[in-house]
Amino acid sequence: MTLTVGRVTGLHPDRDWERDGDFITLSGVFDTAVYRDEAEVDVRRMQVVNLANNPDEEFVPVRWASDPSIDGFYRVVDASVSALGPVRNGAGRWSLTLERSYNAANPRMETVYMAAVRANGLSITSTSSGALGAVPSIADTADIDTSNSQGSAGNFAIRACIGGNVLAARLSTLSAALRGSVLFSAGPGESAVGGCLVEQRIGSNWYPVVGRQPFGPLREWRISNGIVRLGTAPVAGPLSFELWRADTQTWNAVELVSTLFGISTAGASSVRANLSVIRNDDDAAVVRCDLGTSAETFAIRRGVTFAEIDSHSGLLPDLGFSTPTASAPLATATMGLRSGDINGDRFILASNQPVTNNVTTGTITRSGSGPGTYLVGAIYKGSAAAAPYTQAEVIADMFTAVWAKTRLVVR
Amino acid sequence: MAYTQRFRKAGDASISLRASTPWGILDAILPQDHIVITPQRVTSPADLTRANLLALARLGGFTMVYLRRTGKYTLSGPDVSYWIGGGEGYPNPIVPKTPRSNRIRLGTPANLTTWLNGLFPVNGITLGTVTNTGTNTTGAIPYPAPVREALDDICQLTGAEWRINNDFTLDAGPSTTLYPLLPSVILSAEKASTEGTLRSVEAVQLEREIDASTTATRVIGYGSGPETEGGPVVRQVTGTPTGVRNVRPGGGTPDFTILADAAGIRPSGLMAHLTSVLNEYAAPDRTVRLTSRTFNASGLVRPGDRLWVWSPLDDLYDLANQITFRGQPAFPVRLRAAAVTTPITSEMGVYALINDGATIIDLSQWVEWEDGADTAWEVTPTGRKPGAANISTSTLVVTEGGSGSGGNRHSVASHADRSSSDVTDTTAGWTPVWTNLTVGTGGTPENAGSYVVDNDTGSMDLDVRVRLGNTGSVTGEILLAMPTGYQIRRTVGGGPTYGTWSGQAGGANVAGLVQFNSFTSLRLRTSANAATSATAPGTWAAGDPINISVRVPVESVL
Repeated sequence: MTLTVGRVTGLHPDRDWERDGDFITLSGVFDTAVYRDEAEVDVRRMQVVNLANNPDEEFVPVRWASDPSIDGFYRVVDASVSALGPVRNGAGRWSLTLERSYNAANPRMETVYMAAVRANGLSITSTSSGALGAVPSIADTADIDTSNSQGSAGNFAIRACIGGNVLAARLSTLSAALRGSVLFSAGPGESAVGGCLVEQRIGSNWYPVVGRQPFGPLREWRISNGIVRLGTAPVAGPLSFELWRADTQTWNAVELVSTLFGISTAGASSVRANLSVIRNDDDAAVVRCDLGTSAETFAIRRGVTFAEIDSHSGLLPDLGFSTPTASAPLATATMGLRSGDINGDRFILASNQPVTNNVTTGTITRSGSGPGTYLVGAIYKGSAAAAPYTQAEVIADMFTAVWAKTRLVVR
Repeated sequence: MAYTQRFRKAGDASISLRASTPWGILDAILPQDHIVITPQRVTSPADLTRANLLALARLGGFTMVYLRRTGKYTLSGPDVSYWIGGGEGYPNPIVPKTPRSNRIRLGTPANLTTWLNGLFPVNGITLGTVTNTGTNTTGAIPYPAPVREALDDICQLTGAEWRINNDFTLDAGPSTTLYPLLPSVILSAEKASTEGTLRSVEAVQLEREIDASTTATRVIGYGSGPETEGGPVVRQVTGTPTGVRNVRPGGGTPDFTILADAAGIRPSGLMAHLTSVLNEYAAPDRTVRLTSRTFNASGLVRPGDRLWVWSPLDDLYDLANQITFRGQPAFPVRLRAAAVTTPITSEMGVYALINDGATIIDLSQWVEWEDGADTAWEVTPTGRKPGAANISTSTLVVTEGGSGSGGNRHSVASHADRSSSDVTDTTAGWTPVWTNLTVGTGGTPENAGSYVVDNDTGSMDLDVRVRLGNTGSVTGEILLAMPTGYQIRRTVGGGPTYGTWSGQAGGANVAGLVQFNSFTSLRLRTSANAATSATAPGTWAAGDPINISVRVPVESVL
């Protein structure tokens, strides 16, 4: 049975693993059951090496079906692989040294968050709600502690969300900035549920990127939180934004076009080889595309149904649906517009700076130059959306600027 | 073995020359020769000019005053601010006996430019760009006073900051003119990157410190007595410190009082001085230290510059500030660089300007470099309070003798007479209340007097003052209400002439009645029932002050 360390799956450890106090040393080969070709082994070796010195994930969940006694959270002290050599199936060898965390099997976790109304040029000073943080739905909801909230009388609600998360901290209104923390418990099989990740396509397969080092240039990528994902299109088009349909268990995709990427017509492909991973943990996945002196940064947070595209470009970029549908301006017209229902779902394009809407082409254009943030959101079941993902709530989420980080704490 | 720049304090530098340095080179350098450090080596002899090196000396230079030989030669000394004096404990240049601007000695408010034109040039330091703050101040700089102290005082009173540039010029002006309010550099634990117009600098080691051991609730200071009487004057300022719990065991607010050295400060400026002292102690000291390996980090940041610092898990954040950093919202705290220490590495150039540049020696080939060392920083926060105001000169100092503004923490303002801007005293326990003040041509009360402690009687004398508006006769009475136990006597404007103390006022709010009848004559009543003066009203010159001393039991003031 295979070993899973963080996002790395398909590890087949040798039998002679060693445990010394809090330290475990494991080595083995890549499991032939998941081995498809040599390119995949290359990717997996890169993943293993990236487990150590990962600036985003200090502790990773470890699970081994053959020996659940080691299941828990560990810090990867050392990770190494050996070159492709004369081993079975040419699969290569790996070796890991793991240090057990305190209460490794079922630790207490804390999501630290800071939130404020997103800085904007639209005179928005409060939002009607805001998703502050999300915890895995498998976590015992009775264990969730949202009592530490500094700076605002939070009115929190625990609500299930589409992708299997529980929104642990959701404000009824937000005007003044606040910070706080959410405590919960999660086992090694639970913590990454609904977590964010950066994925990369090598050949025809998608692989999670471990840490901030993708395998080779990051050409075909997507960032995902299990509810929505954004990335290079699976079909023609420069950028694809997708929403998970819980009822049909499929992704509902909408293609985006934008002068952000120098592409203004639908169907053109865009392959940028200079993307870099900025952040890649369960709380957020961020990649950046450098374009000369400007940069576009794509980010997704856990538990929300939108992505942020931060543009440092001094141009006047626009952003639109490649297949315009019956789009309509949002209630605040300079904020952006929404599409009509696409396969039953609805999509929103918005910005924190004033835009002009073109409802015919389904495009928004910044009214002023300078840095700004684009927001691409999705409304599950469109006009029939249910709380907490109605259109008004999704827009409120978009205009709640949140920084969050989850870490292990001592019980 | 590094170059340290400090905000409004003397930086210093130290370099070592190899033991193999020719004697001819070493003999050529004398203390007070200027050493220049440039970011790159200047190799062309044609470029080795004084003006060129000073222009290139982005990292600064220092004036070598200390020479040590321990196998190798170590040259060290302070930065260019050496030439306006090292401050307390060192010889200093002093202010001109005849100010270069007469306005310094005039009683009318003067702006920063006027003040500094009266002081500079000093020891070759000339004025660069001076931007007026909009706040003018009056007074006189006593002779002899150290230039650095006078400069600090002028800047404090006008709300300005100063810096000395590497080309021996001094810039002064509002803080945000010298150092932009919007930071262009962000420090975080992330790798160095460019974030639009922001430059991100990686902090290798962030260390945060909060020290509440000097946080105070009250300052009591003894200043010089009034000109008319002499003797010590005591005043107090109380406040509620922020950033601490401010609860004593068992409940209630604690008392932590600083006895401030205010000798030399005249009564009229004492309250303002004590207020600024208390401001410095009104919150815990917060210090952030960090090191950075980012290339040329010290080229991005000068001491005094404002920086974003974002390391939320190290408690370095401020919800009042929202920026987009690495694609996500960030809430950085705005701090100021108090000190930046740069290692002297082999790509730099080191030059000695012998005899003010008459001869220039390239020392680079003999310098022992410190390749691989980190740049060390020290930044002082504005305080993490949401909506915290910009840092001001009075709250800059983090630790005495450490980073922060020039001068020691409660440096003594040597400004004396601020007579036209006396501060209304509302915190000293008793505010004189005048009635019928508009009798005649109208007047203004000035409650700014000073307290003179009389240890023998356990009382304090409070000078209150009436200033009458226009020339002309005044009829009727001007009334000063006094609580029980207070006494009054007159001090006539201009001269140390005192009357005798009245009896203590009787019941609550019994009036001490004051009737003027001439500039030199004053009658008092100590109670409502005392006889009214029958003397005819006199005449006054416009603005003549009439001083009345009130004797107050000490415990009713403090």
